[in-house]
Order: sequence, then structure tokens, then C-alpha cells
Amino acid sequence: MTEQPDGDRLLGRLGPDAGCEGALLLLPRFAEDALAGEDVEVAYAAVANHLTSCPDCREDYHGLLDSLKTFGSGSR
Amino acid sequence: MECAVSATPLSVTQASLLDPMSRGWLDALGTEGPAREAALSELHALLLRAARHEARRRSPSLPETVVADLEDLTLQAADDALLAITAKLGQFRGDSRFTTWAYMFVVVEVSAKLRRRAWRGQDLNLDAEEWERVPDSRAGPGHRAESLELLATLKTAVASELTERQREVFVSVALNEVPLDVLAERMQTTRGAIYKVLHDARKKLRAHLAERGMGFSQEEDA
Repeated sequence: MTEQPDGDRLLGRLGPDAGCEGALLLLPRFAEDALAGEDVEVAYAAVANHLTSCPDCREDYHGLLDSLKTFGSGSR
Repeated sequence: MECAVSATPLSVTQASLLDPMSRGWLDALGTEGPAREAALSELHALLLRAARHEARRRSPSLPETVVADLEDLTLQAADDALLAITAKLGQFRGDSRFTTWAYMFVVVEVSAKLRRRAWRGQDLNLDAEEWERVPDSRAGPGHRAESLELLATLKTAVASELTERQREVFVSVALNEVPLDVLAERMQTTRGAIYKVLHDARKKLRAHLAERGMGFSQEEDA
């Protein structure tokens, strides 16, 4: 999901696509499951496809992952 | 595009499955008085910490003028994220931890602010097609010729197959690497709406290539 072939950059990835709103809605769970080692590419194909095809959402996903790795679940 | 998600409120069953920390956040934010004020203050601090972290992560790729404004931008992002979270608290479905859900709001806010600030004042030059910036990641003369043929066909299709708006969006995002958030601001719409135009443009281009046996098949989704 980090390396993009030319075709993906230009034409996006084939298959179901959650769109920006749909992907952002599922991204918290997607990120937690990805960090837990689950195969999110299969479990959330529409989100994974979107992240490959949408540069803004992909960058936000990496930011969310990094926050989770750094701060964990937070505390209160 | 397929989108099988909805923002349904937390059901009683879902609420009972929440982890204790998320339950604590929801209870505190859903109450009135000092407990809520304390939770809001605590959440703002958490959001500001995450906003600063995200801004630092991106700072190597930002112009110096933007880096100089990071403290203001991150504070604005934390403020806006807190407002969005409190407004949408009823939409938290418990699919993730509450803090993960909250981090997403602030990451999206920081991202949009940094992108827009970095591109402020820049001409998007919607008609200029930067085909030479498309990297050729495949090695070998055979693949290079194939890439050149593909790009030439794509270039023709962009001119002949797309509507004016589809062409502007495709050229800006896919070729010139303008962030969707920036284009959305200039076109006074949302990231999602810009992405939909891009998606439809890509679909047309794939179909055009497939008709010429260029190796891309047409998407099946509507």
C-alpha cells in the first residue's frame, strides 16, 4: 500500500472502492486490525483499494497508524 | 463506487461491548458540568499532542513558511477536531477504541490544513499536463516502450474521452499530484466529491485502454 505502480497512481486500483467518506468511517478499525496483524487487504478490500487509489486518504491512514504506534490507546 | 458502511448510532449491544476506556470517554463527554469540562480538556490535550506529532512527521516535506506556522496550525486542528468529535459523538459506533476514532479526526484536520497552507497562493495550472513526471518504475527497454505506448494512449484518451471537469481533476491529482483537499477547496467542494470525479475519469480511461487491448480491464462497479 506504500509503493504505487504507475498504473495505480494514474488509474487507481480495480475493484470495490469505499470512497473517501466510507474509507474514513472504517479507517479506525482498519488501522487497529492492521496493527494487530490481520489481513486487512482481504477483510476490508473496499477500504484497501481506496487507500491505494486516493493519495490523501492514504497519507491520512499512515498518519493514523503512526499516531497509534506512538500513543497507543491513550489513557484517561 | 461501493460503500457498504453507514453511520448508525451505537446500539445497546454495541455499547455493552465497548472497552472500559472508550466507555469512560463516552460517559464523561455525554454528561454535564465539571466532569464533561474535564473530559473535554483532556481530549483536547490528547488531540493537540497527536496534531503536533503528525505535523512533525510531515514537516520534512513542507515548505519553510508552513513549518513556521505549525504551532498555530496544529492548535487550530485540535480545536476543529474537538468540535467535530463532540458534534458527531452519537455517530461513534464502537468499531474501534474511542481514542483511535478521535485520532482520525485530528489527523484528517492536520492533513487538510497542511496541504492547503502548503499550496496557498500556488497556481494549480489545471491545463498543464505533467506527463514527464510519471515515473517509469519498470526496468528494461521492452517495458519502457510499453510504458511510453500506454502513456501516449492515455494522453489521447484524457483529451478525447473525459469531460472538462474530469480532465481537470485527473490532470491535477493523478498527473500533477495536487492534493484532493487543495483541489476541493479551490472548487468549493469536498474531498469525497473530487475523488468521485477522479474515479469516474479513471473508469473511462481504463475502458478506453481495454478497447485497445492495453491490458487494463473495465471496472465492474457502478
